[in-house]
Amino acid sequence: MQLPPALHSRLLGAPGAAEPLPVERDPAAGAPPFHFAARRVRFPRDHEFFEDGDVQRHLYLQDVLTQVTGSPERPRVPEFTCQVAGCCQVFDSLENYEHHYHTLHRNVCSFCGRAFPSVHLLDVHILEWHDSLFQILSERQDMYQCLVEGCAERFRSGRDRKEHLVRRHLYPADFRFDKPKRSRGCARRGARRAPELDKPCGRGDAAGAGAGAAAGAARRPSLCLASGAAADAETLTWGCGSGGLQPAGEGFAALLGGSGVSAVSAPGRFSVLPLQLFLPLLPSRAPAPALVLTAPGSLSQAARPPHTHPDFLCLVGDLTAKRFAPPAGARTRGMDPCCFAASF
Amino acid sequence: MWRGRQGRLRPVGCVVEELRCRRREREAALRKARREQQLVSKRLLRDDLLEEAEGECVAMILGEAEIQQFLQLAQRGTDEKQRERALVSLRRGLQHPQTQQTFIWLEGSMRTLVGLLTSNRALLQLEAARCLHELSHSEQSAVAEACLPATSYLLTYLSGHSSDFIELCLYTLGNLIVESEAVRRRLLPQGIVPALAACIQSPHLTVLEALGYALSQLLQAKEAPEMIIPSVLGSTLPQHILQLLQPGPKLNPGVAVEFAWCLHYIICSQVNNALLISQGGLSTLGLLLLDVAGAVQRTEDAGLELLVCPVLRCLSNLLTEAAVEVVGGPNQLEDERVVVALYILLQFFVQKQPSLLPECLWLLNNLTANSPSFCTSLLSMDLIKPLLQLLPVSNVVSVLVLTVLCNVAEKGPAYCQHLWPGPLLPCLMGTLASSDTEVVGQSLELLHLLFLYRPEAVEAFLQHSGLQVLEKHQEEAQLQDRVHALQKTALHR
Repeated sequence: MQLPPALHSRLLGAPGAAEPLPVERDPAAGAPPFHFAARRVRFPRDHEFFEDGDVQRHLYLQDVLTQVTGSPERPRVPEFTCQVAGCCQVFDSLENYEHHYHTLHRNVCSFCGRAFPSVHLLDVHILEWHDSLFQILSERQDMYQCLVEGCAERFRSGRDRKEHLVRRHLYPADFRFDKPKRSRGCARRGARRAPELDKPCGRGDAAGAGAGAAAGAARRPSLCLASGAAADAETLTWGCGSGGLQPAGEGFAALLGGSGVSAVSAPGRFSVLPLQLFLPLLPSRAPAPALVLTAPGSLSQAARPPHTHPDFLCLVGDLTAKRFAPPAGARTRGMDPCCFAASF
Repeated sequence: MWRGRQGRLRPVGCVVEELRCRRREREAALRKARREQQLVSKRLLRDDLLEEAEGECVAMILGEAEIQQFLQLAQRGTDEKQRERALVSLRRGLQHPQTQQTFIWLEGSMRTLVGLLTSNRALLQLEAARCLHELSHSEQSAVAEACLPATSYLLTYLSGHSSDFIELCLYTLGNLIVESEAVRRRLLPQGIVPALAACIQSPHLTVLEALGYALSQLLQAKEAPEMIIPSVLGSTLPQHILQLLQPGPKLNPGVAVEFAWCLHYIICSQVNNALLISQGGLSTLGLLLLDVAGAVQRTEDAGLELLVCPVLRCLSNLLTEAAVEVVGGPNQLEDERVVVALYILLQFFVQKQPSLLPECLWLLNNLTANSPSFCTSLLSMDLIKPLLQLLPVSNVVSVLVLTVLCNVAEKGPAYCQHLWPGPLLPCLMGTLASSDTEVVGQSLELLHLLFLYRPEAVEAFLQHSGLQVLEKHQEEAQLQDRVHALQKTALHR
């Protein structure tokens, strides 16, 4: 088949349509016995017109035809060890190492060390196992989310959720990533001794804030949120930097458990205060929080047990949780910073 | 990337002739299967490099006791390496159909395998997944269906990060999907469509190709138009698919092939093609066609026809949608370079794959039928003569070529002026002499249009002994009315 030479360069040229010649039809054109009519044709999936192309496709699938692209290089490397602290697995191929890393070290719960196949399952786990606020909220509303991607259903209990997974989604009853929470283990870091509340919290005008609160100046109630258990409260540090941490929205201040680092909260800025300050305020079986939020200047409010504080209960009901990522430069020693910010 | 592999059981001492013979057999089997609507093909992912490293790679038949032993070792072996080796041995045994049968009937075997699949030991997990993959590839329904307990986990792992592992899970799922409606009726409520929609955002080409494969299997299902395609269209999959088909340096042929087939299955099911048009399907596919034609021009890339075929089909079928009818509207395909691309592909297929010529010509018909602009392009770029050169290929091709020529001729005298004088009439004398009724019938239609709009051609027709040629068919039932009409016209000029 010979093509006009100019054709090839036309392909590389600019898009364009030909100016059509005038159309002028004679009614005798389609008159019987002639019946030609120009029309677009469509073929449904099973039409025999597609037989040849379909057969080619399947020959390709069955690998009888050549592949479309070549295979990538897979170099072998000398043996090396996994660099994650405490892991001494040895590998001789990058693919095996990649899978090992993603399976064991990627989506790991920083509170109990369990590994999960995806970020989503890890998030659900942390929420349901390590978040005492979740426990509180789940008493009032359906908090257990369905694990299947795309299903927005929520349930009152883990058991209801499991039943939904089995009935609606045909999941196995012993689905490995939906184990019910065990009562021991997570909750053992329970109530601690009361800290020295009267001690000044550190640099800055924390004392001033405390005083101000004591004077009843703070109108907004405080709020305690637990986002997970710290493996060891003292080792959780946030490097604040000189600018401090900026919250995602106005109207609240974040307080982070830490040792010795503190700054005053001004509206819209974080405060970092010793974690011990808030431990006795939490329900006794709750894990120690890694993050506590409170409104600026309301430390004295925080001093009262939150679960008896009427504002706290009411706030819990209205809570909308927002996530924010730790700022660049924040150091977390081996912890998965999982922070919840609340706005109210 | 589809790594070099040579089919299920590696042929020993294979000769080229043997391969050709095998291919012919396979082709015949596939044609038969298609006519019976049983067209099912599975893909096998087997890493040849891995097998080479392992040494001896003949599939072994394992007995019950051996399978049990390997499973136990894998589960409870003391040494990590020992556990892996046990699973590797099992996997190699599972390459053999007999071992597969023994395995699935052994009590607790699948349960153990699923346990290993979901364990924390990454390498055991990988090996267990490979075992499962071998099973999924089986032609025996019972074997593939025995893998069902693992599907919820395979779907869960799609949202992980390990690209090799995800690829393996996807090919396994793709094989299971195509197995039976019962399997799909389980996978759909397990959330396979949302899982794929999330996974398609992966940056890994190997994962994308595998995903395209799995999705194409899902869309090819008999019940897809009612049960599957609506939810696929309702997800973010269509826009991601169109993105992956956009031409440019990032276009990967292996990935594009899979998703082009996905689109074809969606479009030819005619569930909601207007949606695809509104998402720019026509223009993406048109540009892709240009891109492929360019590739064909530059090199003779093997395998491009695998991509061209579904693209042609998608474009042709989309052009029949009402949304495209609005002349000058945003969803029109008006770029004459599409016609240029089509001709370049026609030339390519004449040599490489004549069986695909009808599909190319089908698109040419759909482009020219209602478009004076495209018909004019054919004339102005001197493309009638190359088209005529295709007439001798086959009867089916002849009919299609003549149909396209009729599309041009029926637009009136301004068009027919360019059709005669020229090579058309002599070619028509040839097709009129054909023994195929449809070829002759279409030739008569074209002749009628030519006589109507270019009466000067009648004289030339008579000089070419046209009447004698017509006489041959005056007894033919389907043709005689038209033959007589033309004889009358010719004689009365």
